[in-house]
Amino acid sequence: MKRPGMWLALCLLTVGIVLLGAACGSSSGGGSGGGVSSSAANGASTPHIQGGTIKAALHGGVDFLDPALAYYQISWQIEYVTCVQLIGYPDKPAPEGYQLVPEAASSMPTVSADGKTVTFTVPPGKYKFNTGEPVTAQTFADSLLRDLNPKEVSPFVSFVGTSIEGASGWNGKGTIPGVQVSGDKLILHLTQPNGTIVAEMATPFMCAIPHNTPINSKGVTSIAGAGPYYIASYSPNQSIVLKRNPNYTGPRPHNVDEIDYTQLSIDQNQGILSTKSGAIDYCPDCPTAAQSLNLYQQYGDASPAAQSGKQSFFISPVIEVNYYALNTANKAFSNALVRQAVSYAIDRTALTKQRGYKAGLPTDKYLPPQVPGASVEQNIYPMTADLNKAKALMSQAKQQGVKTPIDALVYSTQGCESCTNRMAILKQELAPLGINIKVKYFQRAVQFQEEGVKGTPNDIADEGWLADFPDPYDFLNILLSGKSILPKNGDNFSYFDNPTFNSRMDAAAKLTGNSRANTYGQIATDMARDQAPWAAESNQTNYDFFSSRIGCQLWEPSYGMDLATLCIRK
Amino acid sequence: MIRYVIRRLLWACVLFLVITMLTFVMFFVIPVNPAAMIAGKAATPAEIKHVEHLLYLDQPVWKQYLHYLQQLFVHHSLGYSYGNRQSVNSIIARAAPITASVVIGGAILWMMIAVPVGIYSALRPRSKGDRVAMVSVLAGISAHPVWIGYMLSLIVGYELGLLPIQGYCNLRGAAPGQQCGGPVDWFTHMILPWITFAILYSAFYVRMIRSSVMETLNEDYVRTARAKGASERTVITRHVLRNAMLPVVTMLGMDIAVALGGAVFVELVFGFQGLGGTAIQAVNQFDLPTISGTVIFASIMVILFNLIVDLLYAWIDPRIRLT
Repeated sequence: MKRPGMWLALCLLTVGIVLLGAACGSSSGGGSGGGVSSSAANGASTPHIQGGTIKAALHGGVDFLDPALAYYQISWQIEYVTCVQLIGYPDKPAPEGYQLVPEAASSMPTVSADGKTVTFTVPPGKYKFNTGEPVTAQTFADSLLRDLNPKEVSPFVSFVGTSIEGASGWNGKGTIPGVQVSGDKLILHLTQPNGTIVAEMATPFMCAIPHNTPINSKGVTSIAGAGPYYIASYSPNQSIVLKRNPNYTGPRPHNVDEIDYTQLSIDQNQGILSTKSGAIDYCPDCPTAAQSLNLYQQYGDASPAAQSGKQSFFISPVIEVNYYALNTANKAFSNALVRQAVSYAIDRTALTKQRGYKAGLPTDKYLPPQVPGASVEQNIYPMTADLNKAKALMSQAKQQGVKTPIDALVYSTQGCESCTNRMAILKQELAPLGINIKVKYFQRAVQFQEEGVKGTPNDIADEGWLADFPDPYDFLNILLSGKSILPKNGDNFSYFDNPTFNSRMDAAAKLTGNSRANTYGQIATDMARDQAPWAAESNQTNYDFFSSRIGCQLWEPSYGMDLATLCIRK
Repeated sequence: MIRYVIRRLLWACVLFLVITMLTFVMFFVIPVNPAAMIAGKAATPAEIKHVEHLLYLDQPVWKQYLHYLQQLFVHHSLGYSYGNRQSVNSIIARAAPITASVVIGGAILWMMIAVPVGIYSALRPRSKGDRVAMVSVLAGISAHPVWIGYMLSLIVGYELGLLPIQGYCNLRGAAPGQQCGGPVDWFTHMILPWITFAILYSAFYVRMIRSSVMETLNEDYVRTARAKGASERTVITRHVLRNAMLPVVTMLGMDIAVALGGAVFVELVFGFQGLGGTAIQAVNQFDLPTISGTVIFASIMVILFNLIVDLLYAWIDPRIRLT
């Protein structure tokens, strides 16, 4: 009797095995988590050729390349190499990399005794655009006025709109009293002393742009640059070409001739395969948590590739804190002892591991380590759960009238790689305290806005905050001041509104230098210890993966992998 | 005939209005304010209000809808993306040829596979070849296009290095910043997407053509043709296939139209910024103008292809009269 079915089944089985083998071919054994040790800092030490073209791709694309509008992390990475700023962050690893230094300005700005006048001196012609136009004090005044123009709809208004005299309510015609140019001086008049103004003026929104750049809320796609590179072409959703600025005479590196983003919507898995095969050299947003262990083992700092000087997978810290905001306005977490108990009960190490291989460093601090004041802030809570201490705090809370069980609603993100796992752990960890959590998942933008509505029913917000600039104000004042509680679109997701801390934060915001760092560090310590409006969990890291021919990687702590230093290996 | 076409076009207009209205309503049910996303992370209520005004979001939904229709019919503008503030017309114009490349090439490929295999299976039911075809069909239907795309990329593209694994190349030549362009690059970059796209559909079509041909083979007029002494070739081509292809044409028209609205999986896997990829990105960014633009384009395609199919009916089967 003939058995065609068996023959067919064998064929299909063989095909299946081949496919599975191919799929699993590159996987290898597991590994344990640990600290971030793979960050890039070898700068220009790699033997390399001068010139050449780097082929890059992006998964999520960019929002804009117009400095007034660009706000994505990836957009800022590009702006960092195409812009000259008054002051900026040097192409150096941490800690020098997040210390502001003068760039187009001849020195750091002078601040008047009353703290309300900030003066930058800009030697004309020290830098030039790729078109030959010199960069002057007027250039930066034009950039700032363009940002503040209501017709431009720049997010920078939300940074400095209330600080600069005349900016608030400006109709976009003429100029404003808060921005003046006198010779080589750019003078800013502030409505009140503002300790963050210098850091804010170092964001890419203040990138030098040519005179007469049109006001266009849709963004200008072709804009000259005065940085080491300029944007030679940009086709939205299609491609970006960066070319070396022939007129650049500054100290910043610029090794390759051209960086071409040939695709702006590459699939992340395909991006990794293409980088491995050398079809592209770099895709900054392609590596995911699921791929991280394999990539680390094959191309990370402890891999055979690294031993032969060709490390191509890098894990580097970003200025970010992941935290669970405990809603102090709702009954569940209105008692500080309950909030402290939560901070003792969570296993930060276990929660962080869910984010991917070395995807973060567990922390209980409110300030990321790169931010001034973080070294002053003290560790209060353990990295692994201390259930006994947590239970003791809950007993004290019960004596104060808190009733258990507590039902708590958590808002988390739909589709994020680690969220469901972390929520399962959180549920397990809080149950012994009599806190029963129920999780509701939202698309990220919906979650963010739902949490920001005053009176929101959620008791815990699963959140993270990436710094716009490395300053404690961007964390404490923005996220934990009573002023950030708004009827809608607020950023204070714990609805923490403590008059003492509010006034301490307001006072700290006016300080500068070491006193600013020390004051903020102390505020963060006191707040975490006494009030615990958050249970901080981890500081995020970033993955970068390159093709084997790319070298000279340098992690610039404010803007990520530094495109200016990248080179093509010999 | 003309009256029929006019009636269909009028219905198309009604359908079009209903679709755009539903898209609008669905968007406003979602509790997200695009103005807050645009205004920045720590924007004040006044700043958000200013952006709402600029985007016309401070108006009631019905006014926004009328404004949208006015822009569409008077200025032929689909508006501007909330995400990158580009003209939606230009976004659709860039994305549509990419999706068309995937769908039309894929449709040619799937019909090239499905027609001969389906006819062969119908003419030799339960033969070895038919069994192989049916098992392959089952595998084709079961395997998800994303998985097929990844496997083809991994094996054919990465391991064997025979074909590029991702990216779209312009047919007319390399655009600035692109490393590839021209007919040869376009074709080689399309092979894996076409295969991925065609596998699922060809599996469906093999089954459908097989059953349609088998059913037609049992019709009285086929028996009569054979009794009159017509050759087998004549019976199959003139009597069987002509009738068996009617439901296939209907399906083909609908499938091509729906796929033109966005061959989402293939575009995502191969990194094409076609209509599917654009729509997904727009949904994630709550970008109503772009969502509406892709929905409108897709609905126009469905309406157009439905009309073409109906007209083709009359040509394929002279018994059918359009009234």
